[in-house]
Amino acid sequence: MTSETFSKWKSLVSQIWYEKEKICLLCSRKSIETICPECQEIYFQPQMRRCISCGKLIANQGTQCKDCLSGIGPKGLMKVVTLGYYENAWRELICNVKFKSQPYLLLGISDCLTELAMKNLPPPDAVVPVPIHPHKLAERGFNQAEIIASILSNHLGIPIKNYILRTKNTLPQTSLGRKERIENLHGAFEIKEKVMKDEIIWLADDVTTTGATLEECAQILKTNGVKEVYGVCLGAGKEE
Amino acid sequence: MLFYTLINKSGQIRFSPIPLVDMLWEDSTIIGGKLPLEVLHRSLNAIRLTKPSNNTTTSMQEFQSDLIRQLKTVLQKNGDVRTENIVLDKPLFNMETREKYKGIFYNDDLYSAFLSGVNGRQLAEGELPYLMKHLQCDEDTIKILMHKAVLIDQYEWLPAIRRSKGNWSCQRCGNMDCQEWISVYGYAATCQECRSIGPLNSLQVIFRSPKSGHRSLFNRVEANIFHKFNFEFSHAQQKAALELLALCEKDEVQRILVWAVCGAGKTEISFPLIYKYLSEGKSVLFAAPRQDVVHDVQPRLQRNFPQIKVRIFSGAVTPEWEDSLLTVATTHQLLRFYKTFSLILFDEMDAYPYPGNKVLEFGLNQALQEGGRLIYLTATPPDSLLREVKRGESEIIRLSLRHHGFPVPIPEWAKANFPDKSASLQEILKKKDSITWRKILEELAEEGPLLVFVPRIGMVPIWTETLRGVFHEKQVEGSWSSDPYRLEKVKSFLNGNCQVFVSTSILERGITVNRVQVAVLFADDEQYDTRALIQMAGRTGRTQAHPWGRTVFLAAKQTKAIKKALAWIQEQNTIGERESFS
Ligand SMILES: [Zn+2]
Ligand SMILES: [Zn+2]
Ligand SMILES: [Zn+2]
Repeated sequence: MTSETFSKWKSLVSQIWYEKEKICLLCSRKSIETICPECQEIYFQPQMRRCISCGKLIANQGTQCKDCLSGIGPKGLMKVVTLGYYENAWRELICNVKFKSQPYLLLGISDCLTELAMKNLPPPDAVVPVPIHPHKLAERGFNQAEIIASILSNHLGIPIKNYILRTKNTLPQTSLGRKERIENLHGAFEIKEKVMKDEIIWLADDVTTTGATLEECAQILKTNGVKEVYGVCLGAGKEE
Repeated sequence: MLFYTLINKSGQIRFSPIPLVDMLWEDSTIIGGKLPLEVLHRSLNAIRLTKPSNNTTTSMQEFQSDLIRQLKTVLQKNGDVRTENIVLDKPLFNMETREKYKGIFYNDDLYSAFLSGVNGRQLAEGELPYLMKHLQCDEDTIKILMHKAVLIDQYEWLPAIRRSKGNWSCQRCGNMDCQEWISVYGYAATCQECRSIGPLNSLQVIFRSPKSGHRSLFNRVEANIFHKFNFEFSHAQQKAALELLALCEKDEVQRILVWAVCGAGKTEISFPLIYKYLSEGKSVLFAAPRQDVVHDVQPRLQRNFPQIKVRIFSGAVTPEWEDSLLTVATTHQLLRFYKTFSLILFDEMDAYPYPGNKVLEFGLNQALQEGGRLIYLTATPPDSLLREVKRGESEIIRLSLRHHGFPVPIPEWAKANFPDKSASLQEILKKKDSITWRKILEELAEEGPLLVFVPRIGMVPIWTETLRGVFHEKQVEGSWSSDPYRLEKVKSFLNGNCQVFVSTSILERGITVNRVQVAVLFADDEQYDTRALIQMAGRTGRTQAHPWGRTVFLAAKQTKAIKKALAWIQEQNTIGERESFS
């Protein structure tokens, strides 16, 4: 084969074997990964630290945000990891999952999510999704936190345990201030089944802002015998 | 909604969202905990069971443990469900719940209110909170009522989306291309095609009945049914209405095309037939692709059938729960019904978004009872339907005279050279060619309100401006389908405050303006097919007071579509003339 025919053949081959082109979930541009490097940079902001107690993106060099340093943040979690800053396209994606019935969008981020949890957290005995109220479940048809838990479970072989039950249909947390959020959640959760003693648990939810929901769940798990609770979320707030 | 698995004394397996009801109903045992119905159905299909050899306790127990063992294996093998994830929280069956459930189960008034709400409906799980609100009951109660209907009234639960051989198909809309994701119960899928009437996924169920049991609300048909209505039938309408009634006497006639000219009053000719169906206690649906048609027809039907409530389903109103024999709905909403209607009158089947939309077509056919009748009402039938008529699969009735007895004014074609479609205002008016079309538009505007059609939304603002330059004395407005001020502007044209109206095809159907004149600019544009041209021409001469009016197709050349439109109207008028003397 001459070099000319070879290069022709090569270009022909590359035309025949067109791989399925992926499109970035956030900016719709062509990309090898489901979220392109530019969008990862913009929305995941890997250079920013996360507050160890509530998962918020922080600019300072410490391990905690100002709220947590001053003692008003959650105290029940060993560590909270969050994928990205809950704004713009990232926020839109999470909202499309929840409100436009597009849970399948989460499949695209399963690798980023698994990697995040695996790299930053100790192996757990189980992953527990933050439950939603049955009314919301009926309306939406699924619990987004369960899908996040399912992705982790599926990729890492960790069992899912539905330890917690939501008994109160609370107002959306995002509509409230910090103090109201805590009151809003008071008594919203109950333990559903017998918790195994001394387990390490990953608690999965879609978004955390003040960490109040994670805190409420973590406290319930811990009073029922869980040893350590870690949080895994897709989106978090940012400290300005 | 999640389901338990139960088994009864004779080895029958049943899935139930509220197993205590099954246990009240017959001697049965819960053998499995909560799973989505889709997973249960698929697992049960994948196993092989040997029926118990006899009714002895040992043989039944063997059967039961074999079943459980096999189901467990299948679930684990499929990797669908990790068994450790599944909690068998066996529901408590204490005296108190037993009495409470019994009370609900045997409450006949509540049950008939429930049946009336779900009659003929295809319910998705997401609609249950609304039904609960309507019946003022809690979740347990609604589950008891629904499951009672499954046990005694031939209703069924089915997985909303089913998987077979790796493909997911939506049971509500027939879509075979659902999006997959991972749930706690293994792979799951969501349907995006029918989302406009509420989200749906494979963890959920649909509830419906293949038989619908409408009660008769009417007495027998009276001798002269034409005197029942609050309008006068024209001679031609009466003739067509009788023809329609006669065709419907024949059981073998299941599809009929009513081909009426624009402004013939085609809706009304179906009224005697509707009356006949209602008097026999049969359910009737009036469907149309567009929302405004539906909202226009509902009050007209209500005025003429005051004995019953004409219920309406459209994206603009929340679904009603009161049962009725007469329903008006947009085609999107038909997915809420299952084998419900004996008669469907389908208006303007050639209007967007129906043509070529598989989901809407599926919904229409699914809403029709087996052996039900489908009647198409249109001024511009698509070729596919005309071919059906030719093959003898569908009957045809032609209504070629307008309600006032005059024919549709034949449109004219005028040679006009327009500048480029993207031309600016200055360019349009500067051009020498503008003299021809300006003269024609001015002539038309002398005669009455002028409706000017342009082929693209983007051309509306430019041409509105242009015509403001031409008609200094007149109020000129322009609008298109997604214009937020559309309704107001249309109103001002209808009440005469605006005299020249530039539009895309939104006003092409259904409106009646006294003395209106029509100009179609760029009539040779590929946007305009024969049917669109006929519809636009059909705006003129609709009123009794002014049965005349001019339509001018302005274009550089006569296209096939223009020629065909002229021929169609000509032909209709010839038939009409013959009819008026018969
Ligand atoms: Zn991107
Ligand atoms: Zn913090
Ligand atoms: Zn569907």
